[in-house]
Amino acid sequence: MNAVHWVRSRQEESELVYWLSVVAYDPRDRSLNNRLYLIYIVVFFAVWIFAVLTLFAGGGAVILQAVSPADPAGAAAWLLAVLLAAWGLFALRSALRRSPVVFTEEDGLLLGQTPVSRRAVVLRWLWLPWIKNALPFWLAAVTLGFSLIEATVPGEMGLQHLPEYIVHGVRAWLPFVPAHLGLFTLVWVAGVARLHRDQERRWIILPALALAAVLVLPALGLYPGEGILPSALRQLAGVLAYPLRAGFLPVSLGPALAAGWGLALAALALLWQAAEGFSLSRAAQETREGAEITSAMRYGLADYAAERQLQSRLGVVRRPSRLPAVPGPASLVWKDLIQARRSLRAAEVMDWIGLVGAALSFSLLPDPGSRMLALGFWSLQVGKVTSARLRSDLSVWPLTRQLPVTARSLLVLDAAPSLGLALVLSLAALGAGAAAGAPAWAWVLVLPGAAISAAGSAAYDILRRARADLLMNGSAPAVSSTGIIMGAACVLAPAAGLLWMPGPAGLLAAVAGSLALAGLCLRLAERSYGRIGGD
Amino acid sequence: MSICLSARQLSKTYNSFQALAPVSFDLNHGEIVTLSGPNGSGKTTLLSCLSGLVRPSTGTVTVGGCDLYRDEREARRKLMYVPDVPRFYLELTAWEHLRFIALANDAVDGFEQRAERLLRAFGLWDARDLFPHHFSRGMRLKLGLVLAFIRPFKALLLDEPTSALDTESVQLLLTELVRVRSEGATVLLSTHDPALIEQFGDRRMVMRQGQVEFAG
Repeated sequence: MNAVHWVRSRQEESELVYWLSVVAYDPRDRSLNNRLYLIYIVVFFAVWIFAVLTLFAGGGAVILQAVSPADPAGAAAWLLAVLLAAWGLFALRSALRRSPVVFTEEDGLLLGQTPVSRRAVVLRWLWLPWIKNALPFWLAAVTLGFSLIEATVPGEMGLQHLPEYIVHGVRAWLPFVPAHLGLFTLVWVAGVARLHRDQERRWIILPALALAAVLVLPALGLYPGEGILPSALRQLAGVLAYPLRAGFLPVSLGPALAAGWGLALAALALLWQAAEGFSLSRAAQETREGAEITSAMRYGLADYAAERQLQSRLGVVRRPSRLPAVPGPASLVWKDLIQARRSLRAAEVMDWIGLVGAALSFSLLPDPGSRMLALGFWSLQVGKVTSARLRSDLSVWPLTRQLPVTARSLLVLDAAPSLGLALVLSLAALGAGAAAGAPAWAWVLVLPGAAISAAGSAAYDILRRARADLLMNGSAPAVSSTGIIMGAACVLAPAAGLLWMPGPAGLLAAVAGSLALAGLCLRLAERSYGRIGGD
Repeated sequence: MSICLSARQLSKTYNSFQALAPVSFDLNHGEIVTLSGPNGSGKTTLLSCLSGLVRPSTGTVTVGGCDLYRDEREARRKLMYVPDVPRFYLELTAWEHLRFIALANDAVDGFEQRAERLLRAFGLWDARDLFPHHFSRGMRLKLGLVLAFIRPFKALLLDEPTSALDTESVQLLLTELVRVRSEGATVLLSTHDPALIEQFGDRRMVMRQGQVEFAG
């Protein structure tokens, strides 16, 4: 046990040091100034968190009264139950597919191949993930406690209500702690019991389904007012969620705390039992890659983390694509379509949604200043989505550089699919704006040049900063603030002309300006491509 | 013998460090030239400059009469470089890489037969639908070589191609190189293997501190 505790406590210490470094605190500095700074950080964040939660509590009070004006306490308990159920179902599904006990590669080598107690490892590993998972829920519970007081106490809230805030917040938090611990541990039981020695116990899904039902029942049954469950099930839901409800009701906390801690202890006992034959090596195999990606993202290696995530999602084998292809430079489009289809992520979809939103905002916003802001954001998104393929191809420099295509062909064909889609979506957004009564037909003529300018600026910025030695190692630069500003300037300049010079003259100037800037950006990008490696 | 690849006053300087002194040489059609030298002598820099991955500080490179920068597209059709650590597109399988290179180089006629022959020869046929990031280092090097051979070329540059290959694959590679030589191609092969240097190349280039010497 000592060895396990020693390894894990070092990891927990490292985690704490990381978070302290985020607030510029160095635990190795033993000076008085640094210790005073620690006290300052604690006080500052306590006050800041309190202030932020009270801010959110205002919105929470509105939600509680909208859910149930007559029973805001019941509404608060129901909301918390819904949050727990949503998290619980997701966590349960995850635990049934991948070990909840996460090991890094070093853990796998150290622990997976030594005769340590599996129970000791699992129980020692539980606490840090539990705390990290519990923190947002604790904040939610406290916020709901604050919301309850704001929903129930009449009049303006002031400093004189501070003790009531604290009481309600602590009261909502206290019984939630053991209840969450119990549920979190039960999810771990499902995940740990699945990996038993050399077996993978698929039948664990049956008790997992029962646990899922326990999670969902309060979310369905605690809803104040007319519910969808029969009375008996609603009563059962009330019993199951008693610790949650007690935090918001004017009842004694003793029984709720006893029930909560009873659940927690029972769950820990179950975990102790389930961990007896837990396969550390198989858990390490399942979690090593995820741990590496998390670590990379934490230390700013976003590109490396994204690459590993993509490799994980792609799997091992894929049948050849049946997409028809055209020989010559157009094969770049074929390659791009396959890559785009296989690498699509939620973050990329959000980028496209942002692009459409910006175009729609530009169309609907009334004043020129706001429209310029929306257009600036639109140019940022266009640059981002159109430069992704170029960056990806640059990171495979030896293959890309040796393709028998000119720089211009490469730049145009790399950006063409995404630029085409960006234009179609933006025009559709303008059309939607027009249907809502905000016609912007002149912009239809300016948009193509503007989009090419934004794309060209982003490409130029990437290419001027690209270094052959880094590209050979797969590291292509992202668009910098210079590229963003340049793209925005190239888009906003002709747009400003159109906004402040209405009529055919302004339109002509805007269209000509956007096309000229588009050509300039493309030319700059082309020349920069040819200069790569000349550093 | 006619000249296939020609370098004139080719040099590369990084800040004040001269990685490659001005060199001029010609490589003929139908010959294999080995390139050797101590670590840090500039072999990879020379190959990178010849292939255009790194732009030289001075000098020109001509492949089959085409300047590498002025007639870029034509020159690239004739030249292929395989680095010691090839990189691949994450989203394409081995087979799709071959297809893409063949498409980009207009070498689609007989592609499937050629691809199958090369993949089987280098022991990658069963792995053709795998993503290269699941390959071992040796398999990646083999895929890099197959990508070179799938398309026609006049000049082939190889940076330590035998370093991660098993004995059988080395023999196979040498067989392929002899075949392309007989078809008139030029091969410049960087290696530390003394047996390869002694017995294989038609000529030897030796690099020392950025300078090139020919021997034999």
